[in-house]
Amino acid sequence: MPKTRTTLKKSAGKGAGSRLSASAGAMDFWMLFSVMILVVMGVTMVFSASAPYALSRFDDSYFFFRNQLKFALIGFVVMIVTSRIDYHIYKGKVALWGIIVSVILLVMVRVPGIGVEENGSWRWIGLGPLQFQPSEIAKIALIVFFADRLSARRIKPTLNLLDLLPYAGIMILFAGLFMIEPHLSCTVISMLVCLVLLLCAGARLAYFVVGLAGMTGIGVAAVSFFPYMKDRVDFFINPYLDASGKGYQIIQSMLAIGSGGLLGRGLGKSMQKFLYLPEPQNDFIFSVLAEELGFVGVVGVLSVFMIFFFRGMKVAMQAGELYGSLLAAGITSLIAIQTFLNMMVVTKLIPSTGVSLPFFSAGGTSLVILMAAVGILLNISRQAGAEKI
Amino acid sequence: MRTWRMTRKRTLFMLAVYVCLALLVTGRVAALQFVRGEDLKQQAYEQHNRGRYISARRGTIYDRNGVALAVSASVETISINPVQLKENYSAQKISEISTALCELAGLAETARIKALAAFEKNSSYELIAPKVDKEIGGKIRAWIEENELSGINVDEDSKRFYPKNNLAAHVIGFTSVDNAGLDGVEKWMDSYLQGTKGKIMSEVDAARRELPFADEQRISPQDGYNVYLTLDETIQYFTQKALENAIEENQVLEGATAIVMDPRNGDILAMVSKPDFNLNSPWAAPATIQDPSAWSGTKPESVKILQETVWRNKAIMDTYEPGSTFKPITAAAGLEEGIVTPDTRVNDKTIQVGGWDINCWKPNFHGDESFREAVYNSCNPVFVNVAMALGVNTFYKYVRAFGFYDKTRIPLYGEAKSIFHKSPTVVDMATASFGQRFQITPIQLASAYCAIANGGTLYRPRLVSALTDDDSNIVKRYEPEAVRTVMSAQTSETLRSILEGVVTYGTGHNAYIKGYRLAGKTGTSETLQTDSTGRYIASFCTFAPADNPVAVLLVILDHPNVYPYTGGMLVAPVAGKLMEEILNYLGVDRRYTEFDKTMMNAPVAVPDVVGMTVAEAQARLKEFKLDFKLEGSNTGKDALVVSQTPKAYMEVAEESVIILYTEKMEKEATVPVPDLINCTYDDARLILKQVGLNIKATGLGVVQKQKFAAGTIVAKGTQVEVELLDPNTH
Repeated sequence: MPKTRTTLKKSAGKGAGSRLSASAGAMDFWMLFSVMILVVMGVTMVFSASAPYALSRFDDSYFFFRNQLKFALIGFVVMIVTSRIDYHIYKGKVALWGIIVSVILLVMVRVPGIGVEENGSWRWIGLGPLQFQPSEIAKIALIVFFADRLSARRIKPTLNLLDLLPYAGIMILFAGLFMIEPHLSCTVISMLVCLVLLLCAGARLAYFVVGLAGMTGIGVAAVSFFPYMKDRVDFFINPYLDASGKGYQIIQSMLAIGSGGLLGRGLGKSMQKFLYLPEPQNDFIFSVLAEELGFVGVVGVLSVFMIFFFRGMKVAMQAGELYGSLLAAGITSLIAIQTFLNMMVVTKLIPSTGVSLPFFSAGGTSLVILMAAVGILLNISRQAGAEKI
Repeated sequence: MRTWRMTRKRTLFMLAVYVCLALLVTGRVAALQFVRGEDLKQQAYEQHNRGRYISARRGTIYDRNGVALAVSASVETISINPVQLKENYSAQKISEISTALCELAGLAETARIKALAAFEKNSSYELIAPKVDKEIGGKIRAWIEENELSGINVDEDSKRFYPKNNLAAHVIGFTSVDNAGLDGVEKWMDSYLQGTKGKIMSEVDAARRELPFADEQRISPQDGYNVYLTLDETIQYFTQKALENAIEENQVLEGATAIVMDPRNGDILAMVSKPDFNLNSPWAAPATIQDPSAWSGTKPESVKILQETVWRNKAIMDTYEPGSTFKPITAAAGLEEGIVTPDTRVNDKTIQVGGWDINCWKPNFHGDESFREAVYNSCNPVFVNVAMALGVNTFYKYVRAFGFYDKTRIPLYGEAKSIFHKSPTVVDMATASFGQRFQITPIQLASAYCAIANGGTLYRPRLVSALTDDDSNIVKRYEPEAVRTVMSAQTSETLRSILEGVVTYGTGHNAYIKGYRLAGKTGTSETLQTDSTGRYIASFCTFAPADNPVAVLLVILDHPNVYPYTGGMLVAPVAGKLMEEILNYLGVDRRYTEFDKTMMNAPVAVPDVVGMTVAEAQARLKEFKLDFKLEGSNTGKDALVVSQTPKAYMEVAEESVIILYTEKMEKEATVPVPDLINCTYDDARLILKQVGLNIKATGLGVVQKQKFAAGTIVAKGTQVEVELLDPNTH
């Protein structure tokens, strides 16, 4: 493979050269372009999907739209800012503090008065007008920390069991913190991202095979041990067992997608959003999209996501150094895993769990943090000079 | 550097994983949208569109002459949309509306409480008053318009009404509140009767509120077809009455059933099962329930009771042991196969089959007799001998041919399957030859008798003859269905003449009706249930006129409590009189045989002799073979007759006495009625004649009942009706 080797050298050289200035190179245009399209489509879909629910709940069709638009603009600004900050400053102490602050926040979530309870879960911290989910911050903090620590080891090409122990410890700690909220989907997503990072950093493949088997075992045990997980599986297999109760959401989601057809009912013309789908602007926004824009719309949105993932992974491969590469792969994978989990849930490929669709689902902190993360990605692309315009 | 190369490879691998996932999601969406799309779209459509249904008018059920047996009246159903009401009006206003609505709908206390609760519900559809009169519906409509209310609906609906109440209840069947057929023809023909509901559609959200800018769409209902039955309402009525009387007179404990068929095409002319119920209140407590006030007909246990008692159509759902009424089947096989002729000499002495003694019902036998006489006398051993000569295979070939192994496929739900020997032995056959140790349904036996009566063709019982649409156009015709030929026309004719003899000379004696040539066979069987010893089923199956039958009648009384429990004693008189009524109604002419004339005085219409002189009147009456008696002081030959009893044109028997009054009397001459019980016909006639009374007799034998009890004072010349019965029959 002589060709590969030459490219490697070339890009490594570039990376090293451009590291001096954070804003030296140009941003990856296709990445920026795809994110902007996703955000615009997301805000539009939030408006379409949420209007009837907002009218019924708050007597104001624009309630969610206005909020989302506001946070999209804030997010845009944040993204520009982070894209101009050299991503190397997150290394070392910052990464460590990110982990420490995340742990503190995740503990505070359970403190009455600071943490806010919703539907039996403690996921929000409310400080006056500011409300945010610490788990969103924790996910990014984990990625930064893993990328930093894993890139610090350069001696051995593969990570052995002993090397992995500290990472496993951190993962178990966070998984535990997420689960006591409880927040299953966040646990799954962040653990998967951590695993992707370990994989990319060079952990032995054998561990993943063993790990996969172990996870299956744990999954089976969890399903038989936690009744609420068993329920999810039962109603995944046959949602019509309780079509008006536990199977309701997924049935409604499939009805929405199924009635989309090739071209959909037309933008804004979903019927399922009329309170049939619970909070259609959140987890089930993809179903509304499929209903309104049809198969063509679904393929279109997926294509834009794929452009983004492709550019993100390309940045990772061309970052020229392990830290930047892992950071880019981690951020891209975080968005990708969340995207696919959401789509697989609403199409009933996997049992239902509350996963939001990045850039689409309504939610302020989530959007702003996502866009901040994309800013970091853009900064990496600049320094890598991945694709210049 | 090796780490870095591996990182690039693995990053690329992860990208490949994401591409795969994207393809997976795309494929899944395609599957949902294109493969399951239509189904999901339909489900979604159904939940998005709230339809208020408009009932289609259910078709009418008519008898064969167009008499309506089940009709649908146009009514209105009042419903509300509580969510809409709550959105539009204050709690205060809603309370006013609810009170006013209950008042207008004329709701009773319990219904009113339910209706008021409905206003509180969080739904889009609550029934307030189902099926109210058009008049009430109209008043509510006017009130809604006047007050410009929304959220209250008055929709067209229909209600089933059965003008004849209990008549043919089991055959007609009834419907549920939402006009679905639940029993009888209502159920069997439901898809035709029902029609297609119309719909008023509007798009709604999940809280069932109408969407803004949504159109209301109206789909007109399509009315159901009318069903013409083969039943004759009049014959059904005669049959029901006859059965009711028989049940009362004979203290029948377990109900009764009767079937009238037209043997020429298998038409069911009447089908009665007792006990029965009123079709207008099918869930009402049956008479056997101790405490009707605690009864709730819709509970599952109540429905079970109803199904086992009043709803049960014994004519098709019960199986029973037919006893001697089955013997004609054995006879048919024997005659058809040339085993016997009517004149073959046979003997009814006790025979042994497989170690069992089989003897005749008569303790000292009938002895040597012709086969014809053996049928008259219903001698069991003779039938066993015929069956033995036929052999098991041939005998059961006929049993099968007559349809005793199959359901008749009468178009009603719930027809029972007969219990017949699966792999019969000689002993099975021996008992079967005289109708014992197997069970069949009444409709199977009646159908088999139709085949005997019509020259040998077994028909599927026909109950529905045609469907018509709203404009009385025939949409569909149901032709008679011949199943198979079971015997030759020759055998049928021979057997009919033998069975006519059973009524004229034999055990069917008590069904004898002069001039109508009834043929038939009696049957008495003990039920097989061990816990009810002494429970008999008495039956009689008859057809007439024997040479050209137009009606087959089977009457079964289950557990009569009057001794003797025999078909010949209890059922034959009932069946005979009922058949007389039916033939009369069908306009069949009486043809008096020589036998009729020797046994009875022929009937004659009384001539009008008022205004004639006594001499003239006497001559006139003599022409008509009538006697006379004078009443009044003037008895001279030229005295004028001022009145007569019986009056002119009344039908009396020849040799009756006509009382002639020669002067106007304040009161008619009267006389006490003598005791006639146990007199023969001739004795009774003479006793009555001596005191100036006339006889009107039915049946053969000795007087069993007389219309006026002994000692009753009646006018001279009155016809005293007596019922004769042959006490020595089986």
